Amino acid sequence: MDSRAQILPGTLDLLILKAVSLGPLHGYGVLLRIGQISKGALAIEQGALYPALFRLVGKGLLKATWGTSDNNQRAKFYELTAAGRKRLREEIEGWDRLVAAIGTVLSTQQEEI
Amino acid sequence: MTILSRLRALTHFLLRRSEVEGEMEEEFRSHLRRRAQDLERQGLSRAEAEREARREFGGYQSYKEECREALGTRLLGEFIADARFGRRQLRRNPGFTIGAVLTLALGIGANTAVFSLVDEVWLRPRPVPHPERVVRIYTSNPTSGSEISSAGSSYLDYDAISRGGQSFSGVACLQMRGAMIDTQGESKLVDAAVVSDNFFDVLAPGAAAGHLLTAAAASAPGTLAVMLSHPFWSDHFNADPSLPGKTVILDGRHVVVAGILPRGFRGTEPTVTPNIWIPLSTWGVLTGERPTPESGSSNPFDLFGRLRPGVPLAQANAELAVIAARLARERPQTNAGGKMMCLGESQVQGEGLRGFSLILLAISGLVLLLACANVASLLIARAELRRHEFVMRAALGAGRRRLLRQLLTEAALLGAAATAGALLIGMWVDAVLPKVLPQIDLGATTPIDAHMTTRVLWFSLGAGLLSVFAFGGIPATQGSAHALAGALKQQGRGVTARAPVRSVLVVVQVAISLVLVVAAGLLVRSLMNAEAADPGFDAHQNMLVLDFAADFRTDRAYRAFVGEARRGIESTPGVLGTAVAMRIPFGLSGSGATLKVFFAGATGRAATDGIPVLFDHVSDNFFAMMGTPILRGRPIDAHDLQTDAHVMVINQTMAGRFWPSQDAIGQSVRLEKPDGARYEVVGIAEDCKNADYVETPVPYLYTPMGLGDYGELEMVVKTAADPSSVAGPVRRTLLNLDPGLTIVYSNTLREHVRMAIANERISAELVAALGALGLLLAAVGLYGLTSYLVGSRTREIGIRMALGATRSSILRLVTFRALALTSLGLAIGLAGALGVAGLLRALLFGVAPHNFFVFAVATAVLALVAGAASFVPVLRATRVNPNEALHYE
Repeated sequence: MDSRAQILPGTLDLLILKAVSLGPLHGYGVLLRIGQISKGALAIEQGALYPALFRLVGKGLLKATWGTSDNNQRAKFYELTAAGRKRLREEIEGWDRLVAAIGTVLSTQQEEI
Repeated sequence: MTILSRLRALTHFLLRRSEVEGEMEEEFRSHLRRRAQDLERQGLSRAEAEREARREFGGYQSYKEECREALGTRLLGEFIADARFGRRQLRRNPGFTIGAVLTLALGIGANTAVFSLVDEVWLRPRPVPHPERVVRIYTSNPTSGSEISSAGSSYLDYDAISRGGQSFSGVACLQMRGAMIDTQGESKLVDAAVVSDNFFDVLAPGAAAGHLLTAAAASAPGTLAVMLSHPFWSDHFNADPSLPGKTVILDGRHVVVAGILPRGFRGTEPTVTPNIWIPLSTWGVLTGERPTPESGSSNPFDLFGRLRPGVPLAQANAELAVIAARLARERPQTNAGGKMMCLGESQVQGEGLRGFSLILLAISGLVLLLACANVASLLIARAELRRHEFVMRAALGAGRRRLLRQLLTEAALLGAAATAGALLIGMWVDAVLPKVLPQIDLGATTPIDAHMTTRVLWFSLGAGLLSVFAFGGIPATQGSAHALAGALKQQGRGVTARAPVRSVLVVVQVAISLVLVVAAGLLVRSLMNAEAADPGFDAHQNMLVLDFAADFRTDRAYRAFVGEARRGIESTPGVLGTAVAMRIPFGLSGSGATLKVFFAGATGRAATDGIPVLFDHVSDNFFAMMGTPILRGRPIDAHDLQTDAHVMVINQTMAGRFWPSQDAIGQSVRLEKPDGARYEVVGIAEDCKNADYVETPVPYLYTPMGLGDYGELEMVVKTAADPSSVAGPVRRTLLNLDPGLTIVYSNTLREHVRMAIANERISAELVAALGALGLLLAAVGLYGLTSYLVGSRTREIGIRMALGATRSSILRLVTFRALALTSLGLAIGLAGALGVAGLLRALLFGVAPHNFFVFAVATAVLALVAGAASFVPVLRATRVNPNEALHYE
């Protein structure tokens, strides 16, 4: 069985925002950055990235501009907008709360009930 | 996404669609390129790297589609794509497309045509400013025994209301008369509306050309001016824009045409547009008739009022009640017990036709429903054939909604084409309708002027749109559902073998058709009854009916002329005899005029005011010519005419009602005639129908034509053979005697009578046409379904036959279903028809709404058609070759 975890629904947006928060990236770059920060533990179909990017641009959380990449190829770069930065903060806080809650549940011992 | 940014994205996409698509493509490609480069660096060959990059990327096209959706533009892009694809699909199947479009176009077209009629008759308001403030004022005159709302009003009533009515900014009156106008060298009797001078000030319709005749201009001394109706101006003056300001010759006088009224401006009746509008001042100069409150008039007026802004109808009615009460006090001899009231025009317009219009609209709606059911059925069948395509698309990631939209888009394309076709059909019907509707040969009466208006256009578009959902909705949901089911199950043969939705459609079709056929049957039966009814005279004989107008200085000269004309015509070969009378039954003037009868046995008001009885002045030979039997006594003869005998012939009903227990012959009554003489009953004639076949017999009396009665007469000429063959010689004889004479009307008696049952004929023909259309559509539907069922069971039938099933058992197998569906449809249809027939009651003559014969025949016809429609496919089923059927697939 594949040791890499399937991505949790709804977390792709969070991962993209996090990846882009470290600096403007083109689509493939976002993918690499996610792979890098998740240490290769997350697997998604690569194409699924783009609808998510388009959605985030539509929501005004990301800004897309055409530019030139390191190897002088034309590429579309994504960066966080102010709204995107704010949303990332909220999402991280929400995620932390969720994780803490789930952690509490999972570590509950029989006698504590 | 906010609405604004969505809109921005959408407009961006719309304006630069290819650019957006190009950028998306570029972004995806650069991703694949980078990934492949990375993979190559990890040691894969270039080809392997490229393949792996693509695999990792996943569904290229479906992600693109998702991106488009994220851009908020997917809907539109898909619509365009769907429309393109749909158009290709429809082109690929021209038979299906033409069939579906034609079926729908007929359905929508029937509705368009009917609606344009309804719109003209009922919905379109009078083209005047604030039509909602225009009211009709009705008065009742109890001495004449007439009900409020049906009879016209006296000039006295008009005068009192226009002086006393504070609720109205103006009150105008109108009465329909005839006038002789010279157009392009020939004299024509045309319908004229004689109106009060202020008529156009009150209604203010505006002028299509020239200017409106104001009260001030109309009543200026020495002014002779009229307005013309738009259709009359177009038909007889070629819509000459320079006509206003010029004169026309009216009743022998030069009269200025002040202006042309706008199209659609009518008089009192929705179906009759007067040709010419003559103010009372001008009419007075032309004819010497100048009504005053004292004059009293046999010709009643129709009254129109315009409410002051903000005055409610109730207030106006309260004021009218006060005026009526005052008149009743001041003029008891004419107005005792009189009432007055007003109604908004929308409440009274086209009352008679309104019910019929609604019935027609309902019937044509049913036809459209049938058409929709057929096309839906076709679409379902086609969706079956296209299952493979849908399964493919579903497998490639198209969602159910996406497929649904594709199917609806195709339906919309069909609907659009059909609506365009329907408008063409509607316009054609509107052009043909006035020619099909019986035209009265009076020169220039304008029949219903149905034509396309924006409202009709909207109606058709609405009907088209509704039908798209009606016929496209079911198959679309079915088709898209099947696609998913099919994707899971591969070839779901069992899913549709029973075709439940199509079966329901067939049941509905059979039911609706039965309702249509029953309605048509009842109306046709009613028409046959009307045609077969005995009108009290021989309506089928060879006879010419003539109306002519001549100008003689004295009554004596006129009488001499008529005598000479009769002798001249009677000497024409082929002519058997002639007679003249004030009116011939089924004439243009409705039931005719009444004469007050004072008879000895009367009590109360009948004794003081007399009893109004319809009457006719007739010449000798009249009863013999018409073929009206004299039941007792003798007819009016030449001697009576020569001696001005005070005798009369009465009809059976009058004899029975006036002298129920005595012999009417020999009785005498005083008639409301200038000489006040008593008239003796010398004969009793059989009851005649007067205005139409449907009327109930009323008292009627005939007196000999007196010296002063020749000015208004019609002539009948009985012939040995085809009456139209003597029309020419008769005309020449008349013109030889008086070159200035105008033949106003000339028709055969058969045609003359045929026009009297025009309403019955039109309703029967229209509904029969719609019924036939419905029957055809139902037959097509049933044929389609049975064919489909047989087709889908070919394999099963083959197996059964291989196992030894006989032809007859196969026949039972496949017939059973068609039979069951038809029976169910017939049962539902019968229940529906029973309800609908009740609504037709008012239109039926001599046939009960639940006439067993009609219902039985309609059911039989439908069962027969259904049987025939399923026979061919069933026959095919029995000829299935087991070998072939099993090897198939």
